[in-house]
Amino acid sequence: MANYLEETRTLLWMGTVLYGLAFIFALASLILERHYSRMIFYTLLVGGFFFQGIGLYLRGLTFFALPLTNPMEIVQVISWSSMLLILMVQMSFRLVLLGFFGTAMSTILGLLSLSIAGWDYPNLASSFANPWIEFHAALAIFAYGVFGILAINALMYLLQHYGLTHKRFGGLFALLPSLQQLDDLMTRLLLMGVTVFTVALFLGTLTWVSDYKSVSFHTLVYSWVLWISYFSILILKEKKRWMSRNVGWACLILFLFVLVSLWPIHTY
Amino acid sequence: MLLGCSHKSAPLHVREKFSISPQGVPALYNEMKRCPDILESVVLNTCNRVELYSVIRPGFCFEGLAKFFCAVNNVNQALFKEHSFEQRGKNVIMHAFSVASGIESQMVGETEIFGQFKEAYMTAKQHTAVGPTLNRIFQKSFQAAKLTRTHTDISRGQISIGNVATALAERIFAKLSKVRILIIGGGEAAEKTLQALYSRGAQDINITNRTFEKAQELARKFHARAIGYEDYPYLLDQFDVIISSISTEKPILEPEIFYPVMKKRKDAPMFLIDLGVPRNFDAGVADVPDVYLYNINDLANIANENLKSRQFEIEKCKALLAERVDHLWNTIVQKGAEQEDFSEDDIKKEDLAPAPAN
Repeated sequence: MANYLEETRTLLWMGTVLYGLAFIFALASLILERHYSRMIFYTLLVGGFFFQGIGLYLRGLTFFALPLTNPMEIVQVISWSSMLLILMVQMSFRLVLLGFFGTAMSTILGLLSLSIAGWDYPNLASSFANPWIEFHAALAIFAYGVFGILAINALMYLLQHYGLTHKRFGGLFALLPSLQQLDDLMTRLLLMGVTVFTVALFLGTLTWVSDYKSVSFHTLVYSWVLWISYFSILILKEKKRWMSRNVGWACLILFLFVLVSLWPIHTY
Repeated sequence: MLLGCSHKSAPLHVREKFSISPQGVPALYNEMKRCPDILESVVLNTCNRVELYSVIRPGFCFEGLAKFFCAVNNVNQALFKEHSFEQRGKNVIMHAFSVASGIESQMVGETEIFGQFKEAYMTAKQHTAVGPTLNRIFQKSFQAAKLTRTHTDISRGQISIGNVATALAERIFAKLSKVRILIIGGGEAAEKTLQALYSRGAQDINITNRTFEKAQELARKFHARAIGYEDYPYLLDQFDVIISSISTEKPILEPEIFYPVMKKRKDAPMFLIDLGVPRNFDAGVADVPDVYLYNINDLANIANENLKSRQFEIEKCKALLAERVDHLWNTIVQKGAEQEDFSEDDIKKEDLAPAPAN
C-alpha cells in the first residue's frame, strides 16, 4: 500500500509542477508585459488538473471512497475542486486572470500538502463507514473549493480597487476584470458556497445526532463557526450593510483561516 | 516611387495648403491616367499626410512627378519641395508598411490610419489606377499592419483623454450600455469623452448646462436627455459616471455632497471625471468610499504613459517588418511583379477586415 501511495504522490507532484509551470509562464509574460499564449497556459493548467485528478482517483480506489483520509488529501481535493470551478467559471464568465491566480493557489496548496512531512500517512481507519458521512465530507470539501475560488475572486477585486484608487494601470492591473464583474461573481460564489456548505453541515449534524461518535464534536463546532461566518458575510453583502471591499477582505481572511485550521481540526 | 508630405515634414498650416479636397482626388486620378509616364498610383490623403505611391516609367523622375502633382493640385512647387519627402524602391515598401501599422502616425499606434489606407487603395482600384506592383504592396501592407498589432504592443493602451476615460469606466462597470452618465457643462474635452463613451455603447446619457439650450443642443447630438442645471444636484445618486467640465473658480462639488449620495447608492461605485481647469470636484471627493475620481491631469498622465510605451515598440515593429519588406522587394525585383496580377477576388477578405479596435 505504501508503494501505491508513493505512486499517487508522483502523480500529484506532476499536477503541482504543471500548475507551477502554468503560473510561471503567465507571470513571466505579465512581468515582461507581453501577451501570453492562452493555448500554452491552458494546456499546462489542464495537464495539472488531469494528473491531480488521476492521482486522487487512484488514491480513492485504495479504499473505494473519496480520498479525504489525511490533511494532504484534503488540501489536494480542495485545490482540485477549486480548479474544476475555475475551469467552469472561466467557460461561462471569461474572467481574465482567474486561471492565473488559480494556478498560483493550486501550486502553493500542492507544494504545501506534498512537502510537509507527516501530512500524508496511510489512514484507512478514518475512511468512511457511513455513506452519509462520506457525502457530507465530499460536499464540505467542495464548499471549501468554492471558498477557495471566492478568495481568489476577492483578491482580484481588492487589486482592481487598489489599482483604480492609486491610479495603477500597467501589467496586472491592465488585465484585471471590471469591479462590477468581480463583485457579481463574488456574490454568486458566496451564495453557492454557503448553500453547499449548509447541506453538508445539515447532513453532518444529522449523522452526529443519530450517532454522536461518528463525527467529532470539535469538527462540528468548527464547521458551525465557519458556516456562521460565511453566512453572516452573505447576509451583510445582500443587505448592502458591508461594502464589497470589506466582503473581499473577509472572504480572503476566512479562507486563510480555513487552510490554517485544517491541520488542528483533523487531529481531533 | 513615393512622393508626399506628412506631419513630420510639414507644419499644419503648410499641410493645409497641400491637402486635396474629396472632389480633387478623382480629378488627380484622371490626370494621372492621362500621363503616360505614370503606370500605377495610389493617393493617400488624410489630415496628417498626402502621399502619392506610384510606379513610373524609367526616366521619369521625382521632379517630374512633383511638378505634375503641384500643377494638378494648384500647389506652390517651391513650398512643396521644401516640405515634401520622397522614397524609392524598397524604402517605399517599408514606408507603406509603417504607415498602415500606425508607426508613422502622429499618435503612434492609432488604428484609424489603417481604415484610411484601405480606403485609399479601394478608391485607386475604382479608378483602375493600381496594377500588379501596388496591388501587392498594399495587400502586404494590410497583413503587415495586422502582424504588428498582434505581435507587438504598438496599439496597446489608450492615448486620447476620451478613450482613457472610457477604458477606466470599463474597468469599473464592464459594459457601458447600462451605465447612467451625467455630463455637467460642455466644451471640447467633455464632448470628445462623451463621444468615446457613446461609441463604446453608452446609451443612458444626461446632460446639464448653465444654459439649458446648450445642454439640449448636445443632447440632440448624442440622443441624450437634457436636465435643468438647478435639478442635477438632487439626482446625483442616480448616475454611475459623472463628467464635469464647467468653468468655475472653485469646486462646485464638495465631499459633503457625496457622502449621502453614496449612502443612497448602497455599495454601487461611482466614477467621476473632472475635466475642468480649475477643478470642478474638490480633491476630498476622492476619499469618499466607492468613489473613483480622475481629473484631467490623471487622464493625460495615463495617455502619455501609453504613448511612451507605444514609442518603445516602434523599433520592435520595424525589425518585424524589415524581413517582410526584403522578401516582398526581392519578389518584385526578381520575379517581376508584372507577371503577378491580382484580381479583386484575390484580395482576401481577412486583408480587408476592419482593424482591431484600439
